[in-house]
Amino acid sequence: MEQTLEINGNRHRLDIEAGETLIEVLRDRLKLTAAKVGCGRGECGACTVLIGGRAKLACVTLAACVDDPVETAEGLADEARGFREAMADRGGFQCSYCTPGMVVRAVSILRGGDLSDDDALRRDMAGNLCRCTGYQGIIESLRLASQTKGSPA
Amino acid sequence: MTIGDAFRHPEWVERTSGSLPYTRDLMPDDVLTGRILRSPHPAAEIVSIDTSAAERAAGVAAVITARDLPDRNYRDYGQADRPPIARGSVVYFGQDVAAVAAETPEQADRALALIRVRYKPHRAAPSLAAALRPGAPIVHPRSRADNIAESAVRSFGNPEGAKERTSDAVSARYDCGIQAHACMESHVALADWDEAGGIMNIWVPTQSPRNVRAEIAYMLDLDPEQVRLHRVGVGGDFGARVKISDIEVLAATLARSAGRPVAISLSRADEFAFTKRQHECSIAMETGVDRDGLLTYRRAEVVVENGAFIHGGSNMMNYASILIGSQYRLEGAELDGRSVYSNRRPGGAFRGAGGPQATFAIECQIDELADEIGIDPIDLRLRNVNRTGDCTITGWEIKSSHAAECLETVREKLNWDVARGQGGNGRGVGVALAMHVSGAIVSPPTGRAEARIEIGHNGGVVLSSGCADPGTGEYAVIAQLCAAELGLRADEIDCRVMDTAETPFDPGAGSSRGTMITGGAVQAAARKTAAALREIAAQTLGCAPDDVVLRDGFAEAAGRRIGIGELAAAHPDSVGGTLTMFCEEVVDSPVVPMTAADSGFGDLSPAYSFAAHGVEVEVDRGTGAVRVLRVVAAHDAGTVVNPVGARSQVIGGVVMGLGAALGEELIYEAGRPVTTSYADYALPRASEAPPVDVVFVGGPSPKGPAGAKSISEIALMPTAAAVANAIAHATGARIRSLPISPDKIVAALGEADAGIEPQPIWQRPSHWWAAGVRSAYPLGLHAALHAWGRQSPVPRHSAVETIVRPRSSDDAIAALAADRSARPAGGATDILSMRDQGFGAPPTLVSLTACADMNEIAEDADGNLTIGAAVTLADAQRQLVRSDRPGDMALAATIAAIASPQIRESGTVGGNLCQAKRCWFFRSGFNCYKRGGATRPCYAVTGDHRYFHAVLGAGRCQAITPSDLATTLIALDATARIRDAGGGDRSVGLDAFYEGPGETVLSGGEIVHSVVIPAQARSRPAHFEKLARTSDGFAMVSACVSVLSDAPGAPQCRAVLGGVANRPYRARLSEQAFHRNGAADNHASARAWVNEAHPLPGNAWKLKAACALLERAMNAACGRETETPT
Repeated sequence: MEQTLEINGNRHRLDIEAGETLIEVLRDRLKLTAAKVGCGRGECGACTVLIGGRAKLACVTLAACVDDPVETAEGLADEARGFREAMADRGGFQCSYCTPGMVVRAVSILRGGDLSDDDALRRDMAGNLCRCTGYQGIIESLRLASQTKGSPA
Repeated sequence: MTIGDAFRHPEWVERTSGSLPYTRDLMPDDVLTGRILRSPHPAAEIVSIDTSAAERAAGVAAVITARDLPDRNYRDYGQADRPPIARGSVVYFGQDVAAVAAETPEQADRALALIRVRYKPHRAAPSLAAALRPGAPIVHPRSRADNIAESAVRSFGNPEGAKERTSDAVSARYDCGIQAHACMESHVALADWDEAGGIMNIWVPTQSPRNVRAEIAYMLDLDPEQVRLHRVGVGGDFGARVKISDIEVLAATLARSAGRPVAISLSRADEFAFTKRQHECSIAMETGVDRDGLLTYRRAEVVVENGAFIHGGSNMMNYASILIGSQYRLEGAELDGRSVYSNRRPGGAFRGAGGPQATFAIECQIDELADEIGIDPIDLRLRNVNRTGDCTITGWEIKSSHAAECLETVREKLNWDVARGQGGNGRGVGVALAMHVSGAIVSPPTGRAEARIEIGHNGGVVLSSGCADPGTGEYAVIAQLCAAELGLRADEIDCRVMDTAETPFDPGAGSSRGTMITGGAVQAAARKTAAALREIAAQTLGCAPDDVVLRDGFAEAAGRRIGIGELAAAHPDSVGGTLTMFCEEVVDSPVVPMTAADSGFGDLSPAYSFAAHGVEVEVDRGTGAVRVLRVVAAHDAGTVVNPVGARSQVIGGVVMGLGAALGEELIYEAGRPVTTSYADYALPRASEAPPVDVVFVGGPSPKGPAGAKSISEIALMPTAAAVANAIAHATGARIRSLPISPDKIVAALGEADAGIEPQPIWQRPSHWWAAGVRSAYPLGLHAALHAWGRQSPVPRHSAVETIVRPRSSDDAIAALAADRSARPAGGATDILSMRDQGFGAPPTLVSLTACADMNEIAEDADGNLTIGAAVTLADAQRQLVRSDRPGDMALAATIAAIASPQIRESGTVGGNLCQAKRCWFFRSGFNCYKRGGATRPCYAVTGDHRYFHAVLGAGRCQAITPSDLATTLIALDATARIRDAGGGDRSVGLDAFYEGPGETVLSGGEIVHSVVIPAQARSRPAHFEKLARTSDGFAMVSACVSVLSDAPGAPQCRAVLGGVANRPYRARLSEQAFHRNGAADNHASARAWVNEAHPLPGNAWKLKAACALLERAMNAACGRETETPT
């Protein structure tokens, strides 16, 4: 079915199959490969993207049901610059396979959330699995990025 | 830049932007999909394989079986018992039998279904216990009749003399469950045969490219130079890919046969089921101590379950044994080890190679010994710890040890002496020590690496190393070591790595050797280069080479400076202006073979690292839940090269250790994997990970580049024992089996909470039928039904062909009525999961998310609240948290405990209520009663049913209804408004909404339109409690209580339990007891329902957990404190 998807500000006219997931459209058709497939079942967060500003899982999202603009790690790299630098300074990534999903989730938290409570931040990040880092560098990076938010990158 | 400065990983920009290419990101347009046909039996003879129909099928480019591969085994470091594909017989469930390459995944799957394999199943030994049982079937022809693959009997020091001066001894057995590596990037291999060049190009994540290359070349009859492993991102390893997996050779063989690139990419379920795993390990151990608190001897028997091939099992057995004789000063040790074949997927190298298991045994036993003789556990360790200059009875030369400082750091940071005096109230602290090699030098290649440095005339520096960085930060370490010698910043070094055609030999990471061996070669090459630069600079500047300082890209002396590019170009060895320095570095350490035939005596590693981890835990005695409050990790890693990476390695190791300690466990049913998803495998989430305080103590090691020792594996090793010791301190219960799951804690504390058990079955005739069926299961019923339905359910491949997106519920009803195959969908997250699980998908989906009338949350004039079924959980939560009504707040709290934040953004209220059961047998492909029909068994009856099966109300199927929302909505007297195919409406109370586990009263064409919560219920005090394995996990038990009135004389409440029964369970007996007792005796009221229960043997613990949660919910809803049982 012909459909227009807005991804990172660009409009794509695509012939979407009914059963096609958003992650298939992003990776296989548009070659936007930052979002990773970690589980394919909505359990790990590696494919996290923003749809209408909300962090969702592209692997369990039917592309045909996406109306709102989509933002991926590629499109959020600049906005996330502070968080990404903090990740590099705090050891927030190792193998980095989960990292693009972490970055997208972090952007959604940094845009709106209350970052006063580390326990709350840990719950907010609970949908993004990481096997390497033990999460602490990621939580610290969120805090660092929130403190430098607004200052020039 | 100097060693020890914080340095961002050289690839940090690519790694954080998502532009670092991993294998799946590199698929060429003409790639074929490779798929594997796997054995459905744990043990069978292959009578015949007919691939002819598959070969003729549309889109198929190649089909391979054993006839297309040489009749030889992988070298596997000399163990050589593993064929590349099943030949003549299958020895574990899931073993590769054939593989196909086709144009599309669907065509590949169809081709697999067309391969006809005739099996003759025979008796299997699918577990360690089964393999060791007398008369067990022989798994591998190499083993003797007892399934022992290899055994070792070792004696070190003077055990007899040591026993004579022993005054006390402690003896026990320690069992470690099976962890999955669970790398975030599942296994994948892309192969492309270059016929003209005679080169097999391979893209595969691994931390040991040379090792994988050698095995591929060996199997394909190619020279190693004809196989090129390309540089790719490596999404984790932890030992999973240090040796070749099964898919690389299959992909390469298919690619050569098809003449096209072929990729084999494992799904997450296949990753959990069919890739290497940790070995199961059981250690029986005794430690003696003399009157002065000095350890005397240790005796241990280490039993390791290999699975069907050794695949590292013997290495693990040998290292665990020798570590047991090495850690602490001992006078003697007798260490026996066995590695055992079983009919299960083979284990493989796993972070620490037996170290974590040995450390769990050693460090639990030290605490038990301290308890026995009345010494503080840290003091006992300090008396016996290995110190600098020691040589262990196993021959390890301890060139530097700051183990005592590690322990003292934990003592100080945990406020140990105070905390230790306060144990036993559910809070506790524990400590454990670890020591580990920095590279085990077991063969010449493991101690040798090469590095090459090129300096161009423009001063650019290229460092080439054959290492790979699966997250260890190795690229940062080698850049930093190189930069420090050359007087540059690490980010000025261009690292060429991993690609076997472009880089010199490297043994790959393994046994924590990356920094020591690879880093050692890089530092040696950089020193050689620096010396050459100084030499030539000295000639030009007219000074001694030692007076030349390399800084910022220049050689400086006597106030003059020359660029290093200029110097390189001027060097007599330079070619075309580029100076190349190659260095082969062999570590100055003996080779200690450490095979089963070897004594094991010798100095195994150039340096030994030490670490002490201290943890503080809080144990919920009611539910068995353990919360780790904080961790102190003190490490003697010698010089820390890059503190960013080192600290992250430690924290990551701690959290992986916490997973092993508290939840991670692969579970099997007759050799078949059950836990095949992150939902069922309790890998710690961010919400479970505690703050970790990392402290590096000590100084440079005499050996190692810049004095560095290892970090990566030891970071995991002491954690589990520290947790077990803290739990023992907090509760008095010593649990010697990992993981320490809630069921084990509740069982261990059982005596204290006696009285929560139903009456005997003979007094309860209503349960006789179920009890009779259950008791027949182990007596042959299970075997008969299993044999009848042995064939796996054929995965359904029905695809979603049409999506209808109505704008109103009227249109939705009409769309469902128009197409009988149509099914309603909310967020569709579980529909897509179930498609992945082989259930197929409805051909037509009617997506309800755009139905305007189902997307509202509205309060009517009377205060009744209607929540549309298409409202997402996140939107409902956002609205409900703003309410000051207690019922709304309880509902918001319930939603906050459902799934992950991302799922809550997609999942809807209606979808949550209607989701299918989550039984791990049902979901992981077992051909069970609910999947295959009435002639199939329920695998939960005799299988592992500890967490997600019913203790009450189950019939043939033991599954539970997974919706947490239902638990709370029933307590709130909510009704579901259902719209039927005729356009009519009916209201059904949520307590009558379910007919079975995850099965509702909805009939075809009907949808849940909304749920309505009465005003009165919203205003009632209410409280929700949940026990899950991870914060996003399904409830093992949940409870919600809503209090209608706690006034004396007429107290009344709703008490609902989730996770205990096939349907959400209204605990009416507890409600009646509450009515009788009032709020004063919630303890008794919360237990009043138990006599209705009929638990399975392994889930009776849930009765206690459910009573605890119900009591807590009652108390909270009544505004009362819950007393902590002591």
